[in-house]
Amino acid sequence: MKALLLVALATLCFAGTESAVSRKSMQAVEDNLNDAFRANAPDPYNLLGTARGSYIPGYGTLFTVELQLLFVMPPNPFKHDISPQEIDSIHERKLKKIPVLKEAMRNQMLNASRTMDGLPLNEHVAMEVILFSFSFENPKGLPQRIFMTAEKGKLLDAQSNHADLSTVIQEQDQ
Amino acid sequence: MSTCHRIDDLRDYAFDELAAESRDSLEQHLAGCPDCTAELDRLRMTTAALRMLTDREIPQRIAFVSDKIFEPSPVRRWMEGFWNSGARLGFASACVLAAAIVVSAYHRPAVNSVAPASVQTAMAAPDLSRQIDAAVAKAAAQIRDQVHDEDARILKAALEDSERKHDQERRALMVAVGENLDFMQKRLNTITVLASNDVGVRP
Repeated sequence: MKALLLVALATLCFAGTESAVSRKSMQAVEDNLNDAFRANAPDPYNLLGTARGSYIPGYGTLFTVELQLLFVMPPNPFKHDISPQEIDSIHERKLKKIPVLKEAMRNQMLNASRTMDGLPLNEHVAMEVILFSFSFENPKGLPQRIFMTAEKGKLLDAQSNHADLSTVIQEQDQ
Repeated sequence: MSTCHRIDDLRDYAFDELAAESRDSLEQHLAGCPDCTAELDRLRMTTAALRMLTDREIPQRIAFVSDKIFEPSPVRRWMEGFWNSGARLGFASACVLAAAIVVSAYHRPAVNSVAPASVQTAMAAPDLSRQIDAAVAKAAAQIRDQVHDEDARILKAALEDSERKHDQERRALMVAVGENLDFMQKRLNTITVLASNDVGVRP
């Protein structure tokens, strides 16, 4: 009986120190995110900060990525000046890519909720994308940060119900 | 001179005094007589020259130099004699000069202790010139100082403006350089991390 009690106590202690979300599953999500944002697509993103995931017990997981919506090179010895027409073009292309990025983030959140088995259904999957811009660019209408969060259970329900993910995801642009 | 027998008729014809019946026959004669034609031309030229002279009235009286009326008056004769005589003229001149000396001696002006204005002016001219020169030099110095101050002010403002612009450009350049370095650092970090992931080296 004593031995049984000791085993039970040790199990409880071990369970208290182990994270509900394994590092391996989070790393899989990070790799998915990195692959998604450096895909060799036309007009690709420029990944400047690889995905980093954190688990906050009681809240859920948060993944952060920093990227440039387009490959924009700063002035350099081979190209000293950026013309106003180029700045306008960059701004226009970036505005068009914001909805595409948000859709990609929603899909990645759904993938993350499926990948992280240990994450409780009532905890959150949060994703933050920090958007890098040069000072010479036109910042009008462009957020510097996009934050999305949703409960894992709601994300999985939306998928099974073929519902629109944007209805269960809270979005915040800054 | 024409020797034609109708020379008298020709003269009357030239002065429009020929009878009408003779005029026709004379005109027929003129058509065949060059001497009479030439004579008629001469007569007409003479007539035209005479008509160009102005009419003058006939003088009512003709006088001679020996008449009494042309004799000069006694005063005029004396004046002419005076002006034509060198001795008289010299004597008169000497008298006028003597009278002038006498009058001048009796009406000599008192010696004035105050120098005439022209003398004062002449004496004060160097001082005045020096004062003018000094005033001009002072004014020139003031203008030079003002121009110098204005130039210095403009130069200072331009320098400050230039320094401000240079400072702004330098700050913008520093921001751009920092931004570029940050960008390159992030790119390098990302490449490093992804390369490590690809080769299986996890941080």
